Amino acid sequence: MEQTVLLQMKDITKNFPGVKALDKVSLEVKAGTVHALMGENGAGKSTLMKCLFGIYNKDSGHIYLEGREINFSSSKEALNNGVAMVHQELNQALKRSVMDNLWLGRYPKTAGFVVNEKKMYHDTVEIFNELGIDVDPHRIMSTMPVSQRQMVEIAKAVSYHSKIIVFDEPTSSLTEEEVEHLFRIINMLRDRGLGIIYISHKMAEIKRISDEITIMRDGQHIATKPAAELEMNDIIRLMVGRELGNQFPEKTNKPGETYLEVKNLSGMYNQLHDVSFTARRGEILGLAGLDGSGRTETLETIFGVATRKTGTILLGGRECKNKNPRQSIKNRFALLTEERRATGIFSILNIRENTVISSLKKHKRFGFVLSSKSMKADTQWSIDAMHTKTPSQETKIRALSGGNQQKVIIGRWLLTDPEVLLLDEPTRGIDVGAKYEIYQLILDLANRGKTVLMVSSEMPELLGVCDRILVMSGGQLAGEVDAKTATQEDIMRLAAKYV
Amino acid sequence: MANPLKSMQRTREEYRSMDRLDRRRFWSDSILNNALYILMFVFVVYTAIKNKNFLAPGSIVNILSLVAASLPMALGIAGCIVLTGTDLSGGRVVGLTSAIAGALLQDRTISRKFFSSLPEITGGWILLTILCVVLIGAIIGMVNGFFVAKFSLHPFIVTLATQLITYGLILIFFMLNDNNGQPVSGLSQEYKNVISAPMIQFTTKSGAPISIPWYVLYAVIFVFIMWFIWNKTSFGKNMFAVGSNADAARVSGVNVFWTTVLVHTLAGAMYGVTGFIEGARISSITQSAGLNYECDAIAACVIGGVSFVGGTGKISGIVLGVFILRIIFVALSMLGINANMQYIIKGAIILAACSLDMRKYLVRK
Repeated sequence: MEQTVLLQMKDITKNFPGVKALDKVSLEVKAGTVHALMGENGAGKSTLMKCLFGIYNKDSGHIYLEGREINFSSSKEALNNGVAMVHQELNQALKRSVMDNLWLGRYPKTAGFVVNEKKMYHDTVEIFNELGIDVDPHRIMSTMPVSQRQMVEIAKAVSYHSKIIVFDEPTSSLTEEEVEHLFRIINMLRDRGLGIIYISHKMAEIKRISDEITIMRDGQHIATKPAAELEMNDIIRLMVGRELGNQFPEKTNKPGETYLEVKNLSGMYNQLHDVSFTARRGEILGLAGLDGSGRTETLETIFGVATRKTGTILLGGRECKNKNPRQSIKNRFALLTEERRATGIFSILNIRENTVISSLKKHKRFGFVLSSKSMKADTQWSIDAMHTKTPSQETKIRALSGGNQQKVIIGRWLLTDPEVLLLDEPTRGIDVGAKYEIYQLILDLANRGKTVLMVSSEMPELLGVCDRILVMSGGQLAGEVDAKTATQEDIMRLAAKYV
Repeated sequence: MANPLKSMQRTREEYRSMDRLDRRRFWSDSILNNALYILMFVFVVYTAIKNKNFLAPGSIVNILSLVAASLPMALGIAGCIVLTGTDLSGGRVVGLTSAIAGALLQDRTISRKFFSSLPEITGGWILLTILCVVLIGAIIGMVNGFFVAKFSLHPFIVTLATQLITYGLILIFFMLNDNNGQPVSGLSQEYKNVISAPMIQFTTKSGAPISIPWYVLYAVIFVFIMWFIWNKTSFGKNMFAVGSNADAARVSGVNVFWTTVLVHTLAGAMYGVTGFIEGARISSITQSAGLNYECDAIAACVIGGVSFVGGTGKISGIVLGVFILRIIFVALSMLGINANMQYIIKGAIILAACSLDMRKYLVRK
């Protein structure tokens, strides 16, 4: 049976100064299907969606909803016309209640301005029952876990009688069980004849949930095929545009003697509980787990960003207090943070300023004057050693790509001469080619006898780069696997242990 | 403002499962989060012991009247704080509107009048005056809101500017009609009858007459009106949504521009109301009328849990905040503390209150 096309985006083109972000991209979503949209970071997926929702104005092309041409000027207009989006980063008024958020902007009113709370409550319960969501409409949003807040967002989309719902990376912070619930809801919406656009990086998920897959690369439409006809390798090949010979460099590091010992680490203000492990010189130790399982907290607590309740850290048998980042740097620790933009780069400063900020002491002359000669020399060393692609040292760091920004920050830390590197999602938001270079850098560090702790949400990456992998769950250490022999399933099983 | 008793009940079971360190933190947190109320209690008891008059009926009615006089302004400014903003122009707007109200309602029989040819004071004329000053306040508020919403300026900057502009207007007003900066006084009995005349009168056992003025009733009415606006109308809900997450509100179709403008306009209208009450209350209005009132109002809001982080606050909290601040002021003078010293203590209290408030919203690591 031929399914009707709900949404048709035709030859959408969008130029940004100097970049062709979208080049005649087309997308067709049929009623009662889940359509996966895939591509690397920067392939143009989110630009395409922003053109649909009127956040960007498309330069040319047409969008048809049920055959009628549309041109939304805002997300609100899109919502009113039955096109909704469940964002990756949920955009909600967290201090307000569930139902206040659900009906925000269109409260049911009596006498024109008095909000009818009874009706609000009643309608909310009705939608929740329909979707099998178990949430109290009066609950304040900030007191709920992300998964439930996401459910509220889905309920909101449904309450607008949406015909098209876009899911942007919906599973990144969900447990397996929660993913199952989400998939049940998505399947239910599909069976009702809605068109679902599903954006995700997780191949296994895409294969499971989607009916059709559209792949984009460099702002161009590459292929649209039924999901059943595409194998995972095909998808990767189409996304990257070349055969990926080796995703990971050859492992050459040889772990030496035990160097870092962490005993009974617990956090004062987070759920981190009694984490103990050791790491050796020249070893790459992975930290796996779901979002919020305590991986980041482990690194932050070791580095003194988060307050420690209990626990000792020994480096080569000597205790390191690491009460704050300054002490930790002195004790030769380094932390590459997860949120590069928020806590990594100083975006309006240039490469040199970004490179030397953690090692200014080295450049002091007469106790207070900074030597520009030695700062230039150090920055040049970092650029050469990391193979950073930049026009000059004076270039603002925000002008670089994510991968090159990351190299600048790794260079920054190497200049502090660390022995232990704590890397939190070192390849997040970096395209596949640049990832390989980062992996190579990490291996080089291990080869030079550094101890590397690496947090990542991408399990293949951990299995490919690390020696051992610690799996965290609910703030505790759930177990340890050998990266050479373990599978993704082993890790997932441990990750769900204390959830 | 969280109800401490309620939160204690909820945490009873949690408390049992805590270890030593967590328990210590629980107690220090509980004490710090309620420090203001604990200190307040200690302070009141101390003052009552030191000065028997503090809790006498006369003193309580005095506190009640002072609270009623400053409540409308606090209710207005609170909306700006909910939007993560502030309003520094409030005090000067009170000054301007009180002077205008006073000038329009001067006794018609006195020789030196501000405006020489005004009609007889009737109920209609008083109503017209009220409308006039509320409108003037609302217009200044609207200007504030417009610049905040249209040009994404921080309210601090915008209202700092309008504060200066309003002060200029006050100085010009006082020079009108050869007034030469003289205070506006000789207010008509009709004006006073509406505002500051006794609503209820009684005598204490010792025979001292005590009266509660009319404006206490008005303050109560305004508390109810504002409670209704905040909690029951879509405007109120939109205000909280914008204060909590302006982007989310915008995406959901809330008109953030109008919400912001209206919140400031409403605040301005409340300053007009305050000005009208203030004129009759102080009865001789100078250029410095209303000076620094906004500071007291902001402090009261923050003490009452209307946080600068935005999107939180309750009317009951504001009322409590105004009471607490007023009780402290009255107690300080009853304790015979030097007037200059009182400023320092006021400042310290505001600093402490804000620090304690911010502590609740810090994300700890």
